[in-house]
Amino acid sequence: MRKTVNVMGLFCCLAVVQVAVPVLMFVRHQAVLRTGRQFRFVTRPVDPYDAFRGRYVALGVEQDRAVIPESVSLKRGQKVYAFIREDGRGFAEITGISPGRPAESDYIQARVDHVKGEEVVLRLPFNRYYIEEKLASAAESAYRKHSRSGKQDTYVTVRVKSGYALIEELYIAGQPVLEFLQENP
Amino acid sequence: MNKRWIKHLYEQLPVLIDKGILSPETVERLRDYYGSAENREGQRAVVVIFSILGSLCIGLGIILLLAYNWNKLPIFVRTILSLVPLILAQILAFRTMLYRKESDAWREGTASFLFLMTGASIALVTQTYHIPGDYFDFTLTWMLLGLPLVYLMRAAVPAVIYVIGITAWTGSAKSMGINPVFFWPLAALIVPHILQTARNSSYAIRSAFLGWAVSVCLCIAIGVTLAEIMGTFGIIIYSCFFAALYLTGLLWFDEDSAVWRRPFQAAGMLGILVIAYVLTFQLREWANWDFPDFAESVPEYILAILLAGTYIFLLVKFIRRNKTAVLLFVLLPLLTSVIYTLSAFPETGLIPLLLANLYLLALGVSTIITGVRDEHLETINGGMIILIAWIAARFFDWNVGFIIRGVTFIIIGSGFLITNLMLIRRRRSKE
Repeated sequence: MRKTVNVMGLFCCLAVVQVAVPVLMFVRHQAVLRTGRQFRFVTRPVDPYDAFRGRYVALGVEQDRAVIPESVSLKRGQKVYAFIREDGRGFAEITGISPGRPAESDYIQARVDHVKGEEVVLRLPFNRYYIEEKLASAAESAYRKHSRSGKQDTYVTVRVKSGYALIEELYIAGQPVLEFLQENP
Repeated sequence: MNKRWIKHLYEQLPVLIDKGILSPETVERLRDYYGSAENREGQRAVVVIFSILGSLCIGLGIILLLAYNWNKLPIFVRTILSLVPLILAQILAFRTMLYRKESDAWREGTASFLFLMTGASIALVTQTYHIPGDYFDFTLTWMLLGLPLVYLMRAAVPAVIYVIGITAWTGSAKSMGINPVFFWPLAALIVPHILQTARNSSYAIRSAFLGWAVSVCLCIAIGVTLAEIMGTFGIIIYSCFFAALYLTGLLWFDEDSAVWRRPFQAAGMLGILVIAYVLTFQLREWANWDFPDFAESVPEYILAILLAGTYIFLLVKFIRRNKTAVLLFVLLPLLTSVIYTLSAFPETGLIPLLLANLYLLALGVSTIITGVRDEHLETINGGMIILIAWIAARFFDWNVGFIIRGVTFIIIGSGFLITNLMLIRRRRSKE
């Protein structure tokens, strides 16, 4: 009897943890949306094979690399922190990286994708935009077409707080993607 | 004991009573001891399997429906919808533990369903809010949240999902450039459950299912976690692995008669035979003796040493139990190391190749002899397959000259015929 009570007690604890994980994800998301700073990242075209995988649009951003600091050696997959700031056009740019968590506020946690000479190419955390199945194909075509146009009217807004970055919205031709697709079926 | 054997025994009992070999009282005691010959285990297994399949299909169907990503619904509603299946699954599992904890079908079904809904819930929230994260973060979180179900609900299917999940995590981590060595502590977490299912006879079929999943996943994980040194030491590492797997099966999972219910032995033996077969081809033409830098691959070298140590430990334990009949199979890693080392030196000529071929021949012949001695047709057939595969490989091996091949085949063929003659004469002299 005592063993049964213990097992049921442990199960209840597990159930709480299982529900808590997605709930905490939601809570954190809301906190970053409310209090995080917004940055706009200009997107770049993604290989058509990668651009559409199921129900999301794979995103690439122009600003995904930085100069490797002196006496720092990096390995593929290593966690790093990329400093970001707004440039003159109001878009985000990466100004440097740090292997350890920095004290300044505007940075994003990323991973090293590969090293190219004196530059490191980063794998940023916001690389997919989830969208309804029926719209994904149209969104992908519109995204690629406008990313190639060079007009810089395709970008993602990202909320950043303490290294955590999440996508707020994908803009095509300066409009939120769903609005764009409604006006351009 | 196998129900078919019991049924066969019961069919013989009236004959044995008639001939006065057994008394009716002894027969009664035999029936009490072995119990019913009805294959209730098989019937129970069908119920459990259907329960598992049903809950898996429903769970996957729910995932697909919710993954539709209904943009028209308010975001808060979608969040609630993401959590509802998880909470429902938890209620079902809770009720099972309260009212139907003795039912294998209910435990397996609800535990599997809850495991799936845990992952679905996290994935759906991620999708709804575009929450960043890679596959390996998601998979690791999901597996760790599901693992306690294996122990709390004493269910084998969640254990299989867990083993497959952490193997997938390993591949994902490796592809991201992250060291997947953390697979091993994760794998260790499921070992108590494997031992528990092996001891409990009511888990027989599920234990076999779990054993196969573990064998295959470990095989993949070895290749991924030791990838940095596989190029040079791969064949020795896998020899140690399959021999250790085989020894584990022989030492602790040897109760059942059916081969498919002894997964560690079957997978281990298959791996041993494949490697023994590969060794019979010219190693010098494809092996690589560039040693990876130790400083760059410390975790891999440590893991490889631990694997070799595990093999040696199991081998010593096995020898102490004195099951010498299958010793030849478990000596593969030692032979592989010798052949691999000799192959690095061109001066050794054909010696490594000869050793490898003699070993495979010996495996085939010893398997046949064991089968004949135990009057076990499957074993005899297994030995024949080994020899036929060897013959086919050597017959078409263009790296060895016609004369050598011709003479070798004649000598070996003569050996078989002479042995046959000796066996016939011995049998006649006994009669």
